This record gives sequence, C-alpha cells and structure tokens, in this order.
Amino acid sequence: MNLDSLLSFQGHIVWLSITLAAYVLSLILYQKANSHPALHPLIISSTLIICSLFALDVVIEDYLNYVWLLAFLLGPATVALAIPLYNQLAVLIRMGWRVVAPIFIGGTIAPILAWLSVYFFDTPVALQMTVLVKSITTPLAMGTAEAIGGIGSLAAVLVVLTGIVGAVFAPLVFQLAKTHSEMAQGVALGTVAHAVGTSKAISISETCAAFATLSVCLNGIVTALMLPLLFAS
Amino acid sequence: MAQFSLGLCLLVLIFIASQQVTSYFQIKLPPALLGIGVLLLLLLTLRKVPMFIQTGARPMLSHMVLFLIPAIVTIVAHFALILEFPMVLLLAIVGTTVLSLFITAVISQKLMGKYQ
Repeated sequence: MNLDSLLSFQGHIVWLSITLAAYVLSLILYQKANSHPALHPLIISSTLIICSLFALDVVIEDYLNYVWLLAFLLGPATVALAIPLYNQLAVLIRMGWRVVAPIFIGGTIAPILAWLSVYFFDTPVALQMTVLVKSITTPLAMGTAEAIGGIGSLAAVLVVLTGIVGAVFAPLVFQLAKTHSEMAQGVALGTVAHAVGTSKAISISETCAAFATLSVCLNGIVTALMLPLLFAS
Repeated sequence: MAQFSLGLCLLVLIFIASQQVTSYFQIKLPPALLGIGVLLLLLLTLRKVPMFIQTGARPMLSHMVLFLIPAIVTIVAHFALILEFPMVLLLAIVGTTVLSLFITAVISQKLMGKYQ
C-alpha cells in the first residue's frame, strides 16, 4: 500500500466517523428538543460537518470522495419508499379521488407558486428549475432537479427548509383554514412539507401520519414523473 | 442480521438495475423512482411485504437523513448563488410554502372533512 492510498483510506475512516458522530449528536439534540422542526437533524449535522471542513481545510470534493458510500446508499433507501406506499394502498383505493385530488392540486400549486416567486425576479434558470421540486421528498427532489436542469444539492437544502417552514406554520395555518380533519391535515402536511411535515403529522395522530405518508409518496412520484416530461433538458 | 443483509442487497440490486436501465435507455427520470416502481410491483405480486425486505428497509428509511448529509454539505459550493438572491429565496421558501399549505388544507378539509 503506497502513501497516497493509505492517506485516502484514513480520510475515508476519519470523515465517515465524523459524519456518523455528527448524525448521532444531532439525533440526540433533536430528541431532547421534543423534535422541534428548526433543530432537524439534517440541519444540525450538516452545519457541524461544514464547520469541520472549514476548520480542517478540507475541500468539498475530497469530502464527497471520502463519504461516497453514504451518498450511494440514498438510492436504495429511496427505493424502500415503495413499502410505506404499498402499506397505504388500501386507504388510497378506499378514499379514491377524495384523497388523490387534494394531493394532486396541492402538488401542482406548490411548485407553480414557488416558480412564479423566483421567475419574476430574473433569477437564473437553474434556480427556477430547482425551486420546482421544493415540496417533494429530498431524494426524489435531487434526482428530479438534476433531470430538469436544476441543482441537486441546492434542491436538497430548499426541500429541507420548505419542510421546516411547513411544520412550524402548520398549527397556525390549520387554525386559519379551519382544517379540523386529521386526514386533511395529514394530506396538507405530506403534500407541501414532505417527510419533515410527516414527522409533524406523527405528533398529531396516527391517522394524520398515515395520510401524510401517503401524500409524500404519491406527490413525490407524480411530481418526479411529470417535471422531467415537461422540462427535461 | 442475515435478513437485514438480504433485504439491503435486494434494495441495492433494484437501485443499480434502475440506474443501468435509465442510463442505457437515456430515460430522464430519477433512477430511484423507477426502483420504487419495481419494488412496488414486486410487493403487489407477492401481496405482502416479506420479512427480509421489511427488516432491510426499516433502518434505511428511519435513517435516511444520514444518507442525505453529503448532498446537503455540497451547499457550500452554492453559497454565492444563495447570497445573490436571499430575499427571493426567502419568499419562495416561506411565503409560497405557507400559501400552498393553506390552499391544500382548505381543499383537503372540503373533500375529506366528512370522513373524520
């Protein structure tokens, strides 16, 4: 083993360890803060790692090379989303269009409003394409953003921030919109605020969580199918 | 552990096959989306979620945040773009999310309220 490959091996071990440690720390903090959306583990762990990269003067390309295994495993983890979708199929069939319609409408309104808000300020096309995916679940959003000429990593950040905003404002919005049905609250949270919204839905009730999960899967799949057909570059 | 490994292997195999298919046929879809379709079809054919798939998938789903960290960290490469349009992005993230949530909540309540 030459010196270069030894250093590279050490880099893999060190940065995988730092990433795992940051993840575990952020999970503990999140649990201690009663799952407050502003302390989402993704924000805390990523901030810790970015600070470490700056402190140790490591460039992002090297970091990505060291932790490629984690980035790769996102793919198989996303494939596993078929399981919650399968588990909710009976609900989907029973409720039919009454559950599909709000998911479809919300899933259409959210990207259009987001796109309009950046379109009118003369922003780069890559940014416009990126905000289109902000309401779908992160792994699908990244792949979809890249397929339509957006920026995958920026999409991931916008998606997480969107989820946090949705989860924080949900109680006030449901009060103003007089949305008392837990099923309806679940659909709104899952459609607009994806997985972070679902974690908020879990704190409301099991019914709310089930409908949020269904909405995340359905909206994510429909959006990820439709956007590349409309905007593929 | 054997069941977890088997389930994980199946997920990895489905994902790699989906990557190969989308790349070979130049399909403009996220490969994982095709993978979701393949696994869903498999589950529908089996009419249940086999224990080894469940065991392999559960930790992958509950720790998905860990796999997203590398992507989020890449944001350092886009700081300039974000700092160029901070107010626009704030509007896109906060304003349109709250409005979309409101509209979806109203429609959902109208269509599903009586089922509660």
